[in-house]
Amino acid sequence: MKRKIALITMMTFLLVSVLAGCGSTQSSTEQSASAAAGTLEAATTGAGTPEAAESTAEVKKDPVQLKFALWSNGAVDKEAWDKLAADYNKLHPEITVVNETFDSKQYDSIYKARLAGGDGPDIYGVRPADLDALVKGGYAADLSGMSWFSELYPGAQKNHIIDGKPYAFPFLQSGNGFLYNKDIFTKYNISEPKTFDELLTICKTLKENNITPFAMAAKDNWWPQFILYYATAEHVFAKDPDFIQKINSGTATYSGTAGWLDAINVYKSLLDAGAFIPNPLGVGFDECKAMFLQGKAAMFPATWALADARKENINIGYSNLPTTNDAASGSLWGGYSGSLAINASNKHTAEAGDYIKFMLEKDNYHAICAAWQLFPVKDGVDVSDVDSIFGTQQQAWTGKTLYGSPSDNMLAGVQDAMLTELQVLTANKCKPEDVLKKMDEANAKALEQKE
Amino acid sequence: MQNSKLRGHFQFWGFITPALIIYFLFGFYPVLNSLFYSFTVYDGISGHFQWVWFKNFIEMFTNDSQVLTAAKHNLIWAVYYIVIQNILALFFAVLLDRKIKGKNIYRAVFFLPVIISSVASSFVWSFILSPNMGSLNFFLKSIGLGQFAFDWLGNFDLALFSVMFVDLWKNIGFNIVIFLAGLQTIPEDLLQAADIDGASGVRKFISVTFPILLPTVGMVMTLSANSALRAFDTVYLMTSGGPGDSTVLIMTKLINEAFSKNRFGYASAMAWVIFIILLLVAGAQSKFTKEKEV
Repeated sequence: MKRKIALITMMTFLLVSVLAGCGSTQSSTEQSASAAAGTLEAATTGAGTPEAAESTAEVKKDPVQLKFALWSNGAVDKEAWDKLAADYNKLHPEITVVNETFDSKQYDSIYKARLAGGDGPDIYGVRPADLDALVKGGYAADLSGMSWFSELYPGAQKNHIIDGKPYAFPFLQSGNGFLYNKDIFTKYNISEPKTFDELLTICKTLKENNITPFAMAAKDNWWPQFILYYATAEHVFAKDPDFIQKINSGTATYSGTAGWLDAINVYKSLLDAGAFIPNPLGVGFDECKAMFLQGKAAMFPATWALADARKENINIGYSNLPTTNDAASGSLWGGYSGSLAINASNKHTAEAGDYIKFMLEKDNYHAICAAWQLFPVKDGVDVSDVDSIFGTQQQAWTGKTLYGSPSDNMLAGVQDAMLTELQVLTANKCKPEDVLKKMDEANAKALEQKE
Repeated sequence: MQNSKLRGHFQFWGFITPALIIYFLFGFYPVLNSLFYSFTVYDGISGHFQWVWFKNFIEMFTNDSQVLTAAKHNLIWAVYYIVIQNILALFFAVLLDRKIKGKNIYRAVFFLPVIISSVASSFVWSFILSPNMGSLNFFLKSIGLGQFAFDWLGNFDLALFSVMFVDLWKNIGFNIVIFLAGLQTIPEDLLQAADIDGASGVRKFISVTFPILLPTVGMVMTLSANSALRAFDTVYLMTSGGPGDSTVLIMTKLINEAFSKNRFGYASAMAWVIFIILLLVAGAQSKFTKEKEV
């Protein structure tokens, strides 16, 4: 009898624990779904909007955990996010912000899977190409009612509009250029290039003196974009600023746009001139950065290495990267980056909005911009003290029109096709036209899926 | 009597039900879900899908050249896994089954890579195989074999074999352990009888050891085929399918379709095709080894 009772008790316990776990998963999924439906409906009717939640209701006093997810720039920005979270927690002890930063390569699959699985972060970095689907799924809140939103630059406010409403915002901006080792340039009497031909001459001089010109390679297939997009700004978007709208609506093609072929040819010309690290397909980004920091490569085509370069006491210079022979070119790759969205399907839209408001306060925002080595998207935050080069950077893009990364708005799969085929081009196994052909094929498939 | 039978059933189902519930919720239900989505166009995020019947399956076989490339690579991987790795594993297992000094240390050395994390081993091997700063090419150049200092992960013709080599190093220990376990089951008196009859080592292996070992060989081959068709982590971590498409495998293609291109319906269709192929391969191998069993 005792054995029977013990057996029944044990089996009941097992069953209850299993069902309790399932119950909480199902109910949280249902809650997320109903919250999503409710938020979407509210956004349509105007009731219970983030603005209403933020202005009429105090931040709730019940313990709240906000999850913040973003790709990482390295240890430096993780520290900055953690400090911001800790400072916010001091002001709001009931709110804990948990930061989750991921390698850029893994971030895409992680954040989408978690959002779709009902375990999405409250504030998250969003790839612009995914925003449409995220809005449809109820995972991105309308930000227009947030008090801090109107303080952003007009360009930042208009950066992610879907059906007339902003569902994400960029928290950083910059003109792009390359860092260079001033000591190497001085040693070989090299000046900053103003034209593409001058850049090729610089590469030739460096090669002759056994210095790798650019810390550029192609094993990590995303890295070559940091040559290509300098070219797309000047060859594609300067001539047709509406190109992205045309390609995404199917009224233009990559192959049929002469500027794209010119841009790919810029990459090819530098490759053929030996401007990249030898055996580029076997060399990853980490090795590229290491070569620049060790003084074995003279130029680094992005600004994130600045903090590490300062640690290594490298005498750093900054220059625009010309891809045409027009020294007076008014176009530059740059613009807004690092887009954030608030998850509308979670229950913490008001708290998330308040946290972003805190993030955008002067000193806090200054720290974030300093960690990312990029620039703010609102007035009143002076970052010129972060590094002596910041003034040079801002001067370099003054008077220029900044054009963003085309990949920000490419349809799903196009960037992937481009990067894969660029590797084939790097191996000299295809022509520049083949890269554009593959991009067109991927674009056509994506348009079909959209319909 | 009847009460006792009922009690038996009650106990049986009582203990098995929690496991069944977990299996259904986290195993069977997601699999059914993926079967459903394989007949749809679904981006995996918005919750909206469109029923397209067999369009995804037709596209896979007629309008996606990368699937063919990936399948070819998986076939090469399967041949290497089933044939080369298992021959090597069996060879080392036979050696390690002998009475030699320090055999436990040798067994540990072979098994150690199996328990190292894939991320750590892939990262280290990526460095070793780096064309300019890697230790392999440095070593080759230092001993006068600089002409063999290739771009191991960047050369379109070598990249797949380089990654397969890393995978062999990582996983051969597992197959060695399985073969070792099989070798322990061979009756000692049969081997002694063969010795008395004057059989050589090779003759003993062919006529006594291998036939008795056949069920183990069958199991290892099934596991190897399974692993080859599902190969993913080493490639994903070391080359991500590159350079170009030279190391793309079915699983890396599937992940790419789902998470980079937001084509969950198509990726689900691919997953089901792989599953059916795995079932057929396992069935065929099982039949083959049963026929050859002693």
